[in-house]
Amino acid sequence: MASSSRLWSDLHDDLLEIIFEDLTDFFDLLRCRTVCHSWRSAAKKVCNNITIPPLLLLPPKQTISKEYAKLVSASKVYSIHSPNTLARTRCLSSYHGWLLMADIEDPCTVYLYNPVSRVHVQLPSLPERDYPTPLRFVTSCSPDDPGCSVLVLYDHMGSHNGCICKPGDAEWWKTLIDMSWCIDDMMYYNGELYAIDKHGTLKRLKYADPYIEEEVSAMATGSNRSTPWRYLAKSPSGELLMVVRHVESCMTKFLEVYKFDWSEGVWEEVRNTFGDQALLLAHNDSVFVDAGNIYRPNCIYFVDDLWVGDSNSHSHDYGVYELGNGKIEQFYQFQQRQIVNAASFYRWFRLL
Amino acid sequence: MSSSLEKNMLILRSSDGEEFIVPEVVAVMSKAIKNMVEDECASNTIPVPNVDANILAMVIEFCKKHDESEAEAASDLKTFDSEFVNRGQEALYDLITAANFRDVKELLDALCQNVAEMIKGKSVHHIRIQFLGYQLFEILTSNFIWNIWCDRDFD
Repeated sequence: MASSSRLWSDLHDDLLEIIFEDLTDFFDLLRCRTVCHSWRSAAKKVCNNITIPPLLLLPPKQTISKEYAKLVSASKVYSIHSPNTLARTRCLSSYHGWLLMADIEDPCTVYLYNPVSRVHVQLPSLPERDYPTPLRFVTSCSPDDPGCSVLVLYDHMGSHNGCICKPGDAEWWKTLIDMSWCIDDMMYYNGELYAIDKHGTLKRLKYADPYIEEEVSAMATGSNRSTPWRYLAKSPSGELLMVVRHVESCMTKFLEVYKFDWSEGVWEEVRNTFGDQALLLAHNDSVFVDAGNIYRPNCIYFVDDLWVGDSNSHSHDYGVYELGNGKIEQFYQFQQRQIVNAASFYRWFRLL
Repeated sequence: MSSSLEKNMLILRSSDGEEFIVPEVVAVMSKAIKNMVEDECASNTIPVPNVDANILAMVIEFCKKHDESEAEAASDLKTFDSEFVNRGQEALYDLITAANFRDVKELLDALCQNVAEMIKGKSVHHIRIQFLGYQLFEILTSNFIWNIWCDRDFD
C-alpha cells in the first residue's frame, strides 16, 4: 500500500468507532471529536450512544491522586485526570463545564479548570484571614473570555462570602465580606446575576463600582420544620424557579417548587409542571433535561451537593423526587455503579 | 501442486503475489476466508487482495499464535498481543484495514485497543501530530476550527 493512502482521517467509520469504544475517559472521546471531520462524526456516534449529559461529578477522597474526579452516566464511569500543572489540587465544584479546583494544602489558592480544553485559569488567592473553604462559583460567560467575571463563594465560619474578579486579575476586584445574609444559590437569569439566601430573599447582584445589591423579593414563606436549602433554576418556559429542599438529619424529606411573580415580587408555589422534563438540582448549575428514557419526567433529581468538608460525616443523601405524588426514590442506575460507597460529594456536571 | 499440499492446508496469495501455506484452522480465523472455504468457492489458492506479503505474514503470525495457544494461559496470550500490536503507525494502519477487510476479529480488537491506548490522555494537538502528521498544515491554516467544533459539541 502506498503511504499516501494511509490516512487515519480516512479510516472507515466502523473502525474508528471500535477504537473510540475503547476510550474510557470521556474527555479523550470529546477530544477525538475535535481532531478532524471523520473522527468527529465517528466519535459523536460513540458519545451519543454512551453519554447522557449532564453527568454526575464525583470527586474522589481527599487523597492525592492523578484522578481527581469521576463522571458517571447511566452506563459508564469516566475518569477525569488532572494535568501535571494541577497535581495536588482537588475538585470542589463545577459550573457550565468548568471545575473549581483548590490546592490541597492551601485552600486559598484556587483555579478554574476546563477538563475538555484543558485550559486552566488561576484566580487571586482567597483572603487568608478568613480561613476560607471555597464552595462554588459562577461566571458571566466562559472564563476563556477576557470580559468574563467570576464570583467565587466561600465559607467563612459558617457564613458565605463572595469574591469577584476577572480571569487574569492579580487581586479580587471586590470582596463581599460583609454579607449579613447567607447565599444558598446564585444564577444568571436573563443576563443578570441573582442570589437567594437561606430565607428565600431574592437579590439581584450587579458588578458595578460600587457593587450593588438590589432586593427583589422579601423572605419567602414556608415551613419551618427543617432547615431548607434553596436552589434557583430557569424553567423550560423561562420562568425563574426556586426549589426548596427540606433536610432533616442529613436526609432530604421533601421538596417544594415556587415560581417568581415579577409583578408582585413574591414566590408562588407550583405543582406538577415539569411535563416531560426532569430537573437536575445542583447549586449554581441546576438544569432541566428531556427525560427521554434515562430520567423520569416531572421529577427532581437531587444529589449530595450540600455537604462540605470532612468526608466522614457524609450521609449519601441523593434521590428522585416525583412532583406528582411527592415520593422520594433512589436512582437505581447509579446505585449499580457502586458510587454509593464513595465517600465524597456528588453534583451534576453539565458540559456547557 | 495440490497433490503435494497436505490435507487441511490452504495457500494464501498476497496482493503482491507471494504465497503462504497455512493450516486451514489458522486461515479460517479470518471470517472472510472461512466463508469462502465453507461455500467451497475457494480453490487451492486463495487470493488476499489489498494485503501485501509483509502484512499478510504478520496476520498469519498472529492467527497461528492464537490457534496454538488456546490451551495456554490467557496472560501469555495477552503479552503476545501487546507486543504484537506495538508497531509503527503505517504497519498499524495496514494491519487494521487488513484485519477489518479479512474479518479477523481478535486481531482487530487488539489493534483498535492499542490505538485507543495511544490516544488516551493526549491533547488534540498531539493526536493530530501523531495520527494526521502531514495533514497538519491544512488544520493549522484553519486554527479557529477547534473552537468552533468545541462549541458545537457541547450544546
